[in-house]
Amino acid sequence: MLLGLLPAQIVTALDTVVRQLGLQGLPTATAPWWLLLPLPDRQASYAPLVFLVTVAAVVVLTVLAVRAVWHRRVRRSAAWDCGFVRLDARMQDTAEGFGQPIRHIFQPFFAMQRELPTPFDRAPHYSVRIADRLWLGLYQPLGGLVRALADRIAWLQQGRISAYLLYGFVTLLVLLALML
Amino acid sequence: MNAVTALEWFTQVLEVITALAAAPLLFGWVNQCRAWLQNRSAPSLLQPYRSIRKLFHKDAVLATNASPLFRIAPYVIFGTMAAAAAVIPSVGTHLPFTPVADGIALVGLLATARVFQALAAMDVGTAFGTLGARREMMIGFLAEPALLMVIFVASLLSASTALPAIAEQLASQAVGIYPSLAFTAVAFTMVLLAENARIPVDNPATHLELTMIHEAMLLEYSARHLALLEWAATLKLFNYTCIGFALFAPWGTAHSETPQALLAALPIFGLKLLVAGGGIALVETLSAKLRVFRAPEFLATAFLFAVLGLLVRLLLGA
Repeated sequence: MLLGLLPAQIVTALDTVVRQLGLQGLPTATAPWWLLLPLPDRQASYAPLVFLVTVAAVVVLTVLAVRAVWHRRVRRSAAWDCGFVRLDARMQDTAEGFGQPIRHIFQPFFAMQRELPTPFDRAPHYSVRIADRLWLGLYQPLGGLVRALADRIAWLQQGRISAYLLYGFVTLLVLLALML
Repeated sequence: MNAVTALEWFTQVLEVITALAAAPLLFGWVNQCRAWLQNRSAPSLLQPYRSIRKLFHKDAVLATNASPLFRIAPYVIFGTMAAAAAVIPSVGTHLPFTPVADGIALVGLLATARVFQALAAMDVGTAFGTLGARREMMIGFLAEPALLMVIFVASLLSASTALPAIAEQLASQAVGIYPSLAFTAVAFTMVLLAENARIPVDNPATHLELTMIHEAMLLEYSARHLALLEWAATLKLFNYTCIGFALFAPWGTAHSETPQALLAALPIFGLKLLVAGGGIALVETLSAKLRVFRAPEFLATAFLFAVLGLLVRLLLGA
């Protein structure tokens, strides 16, 4: 939220880090405080606070205008049920409904195990388990490889001071040999 | 405040008022063209105004379980669309509001309206509302990257992400026909059709439950709320058309803020709207409504065209 509304200040704060890393800093100093000017030589800028206030003002203005010009009468009534009155909380949409099209579109990328109920089930049961194919096929083997390598190397860590001193000594010897 | 900025503010206000006033007219024009092309007798050009006016005079009926969000959403959607009209150059390009928000912020603004629309549709909890919200989000998450990509290509060509600056830059260049812009124009047209619930993706004229997207979200609304939402829908079409003008047909907009230039720009702008409205109607008449799960393919094609435009620009420099 803060990052979105006051980007210029946060970018300036991050700028010191960027400069300490020896990279070229961002030229934000020329812009007024409310304006984000990423590239001054290009015409691109963004003032989130002003933008937010303007949009909010337009919305409020719309409310006031509609109230001033037309009436404010409101009547409450039952929602239109399209002929099906037995709609209850069990039938409401969940996040599943929003995720389903995405799963459908990107089907090749998902490894999906689904149990669909049939109309004859006494106790209908629906479950879906989704895994990322990329995670299973790429990251898990890579992670396994790194772990196996780490396990192999672990025998170096004996836990005895003398062994570590020996490592240091050998390293120094190797460095010395390289220098000479 | 000197005279130039006063005129710039005048242009800004003029743009928003033109958008608010002319948006239902463009909508009516598209409907009229569609009717002609389909051998039907066309409704009056002023029909959208009449229905909006009629709706404003009716008594609002709210569902018993509607929350305050449901009531405020039409105002928010209308407000965001009106604010979006302030960022998009239609008549003139010297807009004082330009430094505040560029094309990327504009896409964000349109997304805000979409989120409110979907939330409001789910508020009452009827089956159709959520169905519409789900489909709208599906279309939205595919159309947005394509639209952003289109804006990126245009900003690569003109070294700016602010729409008025893009329009000015592209208009000032000598006969500039860019192959990359041709690809992105196709992509943008497809996004425009999808985002505005036009035919290959949605049909604005039906309430057939299996296919509708936008109308499904408005089913619980009535009276002034519905009027605002319908007006906002016409504004959205108007805004998208104006984005199209800014990116692909920036000629004829007023670059110097003199009253004469503005006066000269208005008829050209009207002419462009006439042509664009006819074009939208033609595309709609010639294409068939897609199945809902064909819509992602349609939008993926739009995205591919936009990426193709980007590649043509980056690799060939054209």
